[in-house]
Amino acid sequence: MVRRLRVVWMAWALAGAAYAEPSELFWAMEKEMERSTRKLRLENLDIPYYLAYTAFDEDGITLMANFGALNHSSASRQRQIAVDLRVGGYRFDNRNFIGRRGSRTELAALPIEDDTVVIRRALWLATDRAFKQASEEISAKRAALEKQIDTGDPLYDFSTEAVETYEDPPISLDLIQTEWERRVRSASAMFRNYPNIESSEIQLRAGVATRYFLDSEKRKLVLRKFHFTVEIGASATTPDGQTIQQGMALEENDSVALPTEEALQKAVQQLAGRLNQFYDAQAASADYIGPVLLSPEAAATFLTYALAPHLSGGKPPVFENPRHAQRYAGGDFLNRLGQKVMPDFMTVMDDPYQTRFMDHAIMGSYRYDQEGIAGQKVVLVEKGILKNFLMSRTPMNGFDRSNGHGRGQPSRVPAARAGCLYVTGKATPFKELWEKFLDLCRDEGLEDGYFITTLGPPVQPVSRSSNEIVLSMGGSREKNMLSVYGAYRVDIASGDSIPIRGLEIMEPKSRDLRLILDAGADMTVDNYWDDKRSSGRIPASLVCPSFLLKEMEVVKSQPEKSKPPLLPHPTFGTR
Amino acid sequence: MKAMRDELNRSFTKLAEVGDTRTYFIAYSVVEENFKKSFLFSQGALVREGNPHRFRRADVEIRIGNRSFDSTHYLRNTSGRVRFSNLRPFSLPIDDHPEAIRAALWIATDRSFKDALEKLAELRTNVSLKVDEQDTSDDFSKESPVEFSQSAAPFNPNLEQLKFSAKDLSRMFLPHPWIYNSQVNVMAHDNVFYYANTEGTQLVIGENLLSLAIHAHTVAADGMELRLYKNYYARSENKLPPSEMLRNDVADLIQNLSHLREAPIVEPYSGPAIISGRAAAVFFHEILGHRLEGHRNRIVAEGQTFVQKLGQKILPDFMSIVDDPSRTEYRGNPLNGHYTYDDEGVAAQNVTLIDSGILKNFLMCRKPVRGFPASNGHGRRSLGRFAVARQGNLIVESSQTVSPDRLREMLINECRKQGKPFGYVFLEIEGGFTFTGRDFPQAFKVLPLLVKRVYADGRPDEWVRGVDIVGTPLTGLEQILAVGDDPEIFNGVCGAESGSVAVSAVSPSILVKSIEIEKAKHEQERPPILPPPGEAD
Repeated sequence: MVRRLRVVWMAWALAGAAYAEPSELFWAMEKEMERSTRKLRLENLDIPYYLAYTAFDEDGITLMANFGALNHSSASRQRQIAVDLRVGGYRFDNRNFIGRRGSRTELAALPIEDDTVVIRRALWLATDRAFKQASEEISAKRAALEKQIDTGDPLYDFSTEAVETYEDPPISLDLIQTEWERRVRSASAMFRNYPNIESSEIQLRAGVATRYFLDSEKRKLVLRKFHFTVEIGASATTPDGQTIQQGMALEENDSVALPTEEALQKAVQQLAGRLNQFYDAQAASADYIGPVLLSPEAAATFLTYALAPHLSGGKPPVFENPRHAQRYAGGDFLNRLGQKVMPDFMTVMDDPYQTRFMDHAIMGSYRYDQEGIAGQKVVLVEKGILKNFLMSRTPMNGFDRSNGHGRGQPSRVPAARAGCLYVTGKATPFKELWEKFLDLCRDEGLEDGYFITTLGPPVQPVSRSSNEIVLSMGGSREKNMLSVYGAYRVDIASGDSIPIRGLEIMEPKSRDLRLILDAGADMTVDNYWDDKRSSGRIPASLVCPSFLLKEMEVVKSQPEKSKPPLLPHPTFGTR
Repeated sequence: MKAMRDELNRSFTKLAEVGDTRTYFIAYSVVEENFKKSFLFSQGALVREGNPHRFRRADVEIRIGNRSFDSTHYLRNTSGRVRFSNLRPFSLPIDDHPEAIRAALWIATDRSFKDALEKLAELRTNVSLKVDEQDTSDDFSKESPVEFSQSAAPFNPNLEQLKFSAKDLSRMFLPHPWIYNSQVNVMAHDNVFYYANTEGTQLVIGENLLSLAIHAHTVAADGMELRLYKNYYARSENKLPPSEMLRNDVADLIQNLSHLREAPIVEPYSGPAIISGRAAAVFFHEILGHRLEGHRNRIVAEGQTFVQKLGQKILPDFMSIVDDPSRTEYRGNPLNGHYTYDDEGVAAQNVTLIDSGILKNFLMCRKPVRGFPASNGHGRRSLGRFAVARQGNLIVESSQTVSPDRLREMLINECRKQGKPFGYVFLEIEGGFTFTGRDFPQAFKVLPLLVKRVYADGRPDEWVRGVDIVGTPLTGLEQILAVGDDPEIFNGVCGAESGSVAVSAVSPSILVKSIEIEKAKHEQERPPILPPPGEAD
């Protein structure tokens, strides 16, 4: 897809007329939008001043397999419409308010046929509901503000932005379901070579997501995205009762660069090998505080907690229940513009436009955000100093424009969030980083140090699967702990390392960024689902190198002591 | 099946004696659903097309202890309520790959075994802490093993034709924009139920299912949401009503919905009424059927309305009620509550519950109650739950019947006799619910959709809306004066402590001396502000 996108980049001024467009869908959207903005009125109530329709069209397949057999296989197509309606005016409207209902758009099913009569009726009713909802919200927002001191807030609720029209070229979806069934089956059969793996699963989801966006300010966009994800997960119980889990994902956004059958099998072997390595590993015997080396993958997870949530701008919302303010609190950096937030060799930028980095797909990439604003490259941290924020159309002091980062899942009101963060440092060669790490430990008089390769929330990506076998097992029960899925104890004297299982760390905080002493030259792309915010679950990416941390607390996880299965595996009976 | 059998035998032999506990029973249940196709239309346009796919879900039931006291014993809390424990369903490969199937069963069996051990330990403490139980029946009845295999008839419905007729029916809503939402949903699938237990029972039962569900929704000027439904179930294509009849049903549904929109909301009332067949079927399902589910008799927190009424008269002597899941049809129409073997592998039996007004029996699963040591094939559940006694096809019959016209005359006479200006006729109902526990009143509620008021002075009938029927079981049953000769079938799904199961209830219309109605809950959202698109814009 990247190649095609480049072609479009040159030709986008012509776009709009060039492709076969479901003009009927847009025609129906335009008709209802025109009628609603002109006529949707109730006496004494605010009038709608902004209306956006986003039709989401999803066409794809889902497959699951384990141990060489298919558990699920389906193909589906669906269309939904999200209605975002604002009453009042740019200065004060119903949005940026967290009421009883949270912060939602109106979502309704649309026919998958381009039947304009039926589409218009669905839009009519959804718009009607959105208007009533917006009217209730704005009065609740006014009521909530009555209870607060009037600070004479000069900020608008909704920024003014340029209007664009754009259309992505069509993507032909030619995934052959039976062929992928065969591949997933054969890859999952590889687990048969690993007798101590109790359960395993491979899930494949792939398809084309098309977004049709139309708003009352005359933006008109057709955005197409190909996505392909294979998640592999497996678990085993050690004789002393610890559950070992490993998971990995293969992701692609270019329909001509999909993994081969061999690549899938290799991934399974890799994962199974890793699982076995930690199955046979020594259990952690003590807690550790001291220097830690994070691989790029572990560093990326570290940053999704310590950095990503703190880069969003936007004025704080009004809360119906002030107690909720805590839960929706903005990032730690809101009042630190121009201050040092990271070591001075570090730079952070967000560039949602690039679809690839080196050979990796960036799943968080997009051309236009959920508010129809072109995604812009934003330098957020330069030489450790906070320079800018990710902005949606919700302004804040000194930042009155969006930079194309208004994101959210279809049913939620978009908010400023990251697309793809690029974090760069000194680009120290790994060998040098390693030596530095050993020196540091030696200086502290430590006999061992830790090299961490995989970190993650206690439940692995396979958690969304229907196969509870993999999921119900698992890791740390503490909410604010992260499981260490890959850790090596390094003997400082010899430099040798051995794998260690049963460790966890505290969820990293923004202040932990100050502990970064050095950053490597090796970069990786980490694609993840960002679901920690009120605007819902979105794909996001992070590109970063390995880090040397001055200090990290790595603790022994709570012993689980779940008995391993009483009977041996039915196929490998003699274990 | 072989994979199930193999893993079952291995587990049973090996888990039989672990420590000081004894596993005496293991059962595997697998539900396989093969979706052929589904279509969802809204106002003539396709909203969703479900493509062929298949899934298999399974669970493992393990009993540790012995028949008289095992790990499934009811755990009582302070007020005598029982906590029903759950099983953990899991997905099984859809490929017939024995090794992969056995691997999944293995890990699930291990988990269930550990769950059962934990439960048994909890139960031993529970029994010591609570007062002695009133009903000291065993925990599990002895039943003879069966082997039964029955595949469904070849099922190749003409999907294009079904799609076409669904679209055609759905298009009938198009000229009525005041119907804010309408759905026509066709679904074709065949299911296979696999069951194997360590007593030697082994079942493979296939079943085809074709369902057509029609639903329409509007809002009255005062904000009340109005919905009407029409559901059809069939085991083959030619058992669905002919398209002319379906079209007539949709036309009626649209007309009834338009009547309802205009109909007045009525005030609470008590007086004579006719409950039409389908409505009466739900009435009996709720007020009687649920109270004859035998396992409730051993739960102290249950109302136990009929425990001491065995052999006594609870209905007029011209009425009899059976529950017969073995019947597939009633007068040529499919019964949704049909099954040949229940979810515990016991053959479905025709149980006479009430014979000439006298209470004769209870519906039984394999959890015995005092005086009823054996199952009569009514142990039902959805995956993940333990089976309890449930209804299948509840059939109400009467030795004395009158024509619908005569029943109507009797209603008017009864109104005059009681000095009431009018009575009610309940034609369609949405469903109902009942409380059988002691924490709430022993009440039931039936939620009517279509209600007519019949005047004693001969004025034309009048549609009304916004009423629910309320009542209590013993009084409710005493009010029946006469029964019509027009039995109707209600096919639906019933939810209770053991999950959702398909049920049917058949009843003729009944005239009741007095029924109480109360105001239904009522939404306050006003109808759409703008007229429908295309009109005056």
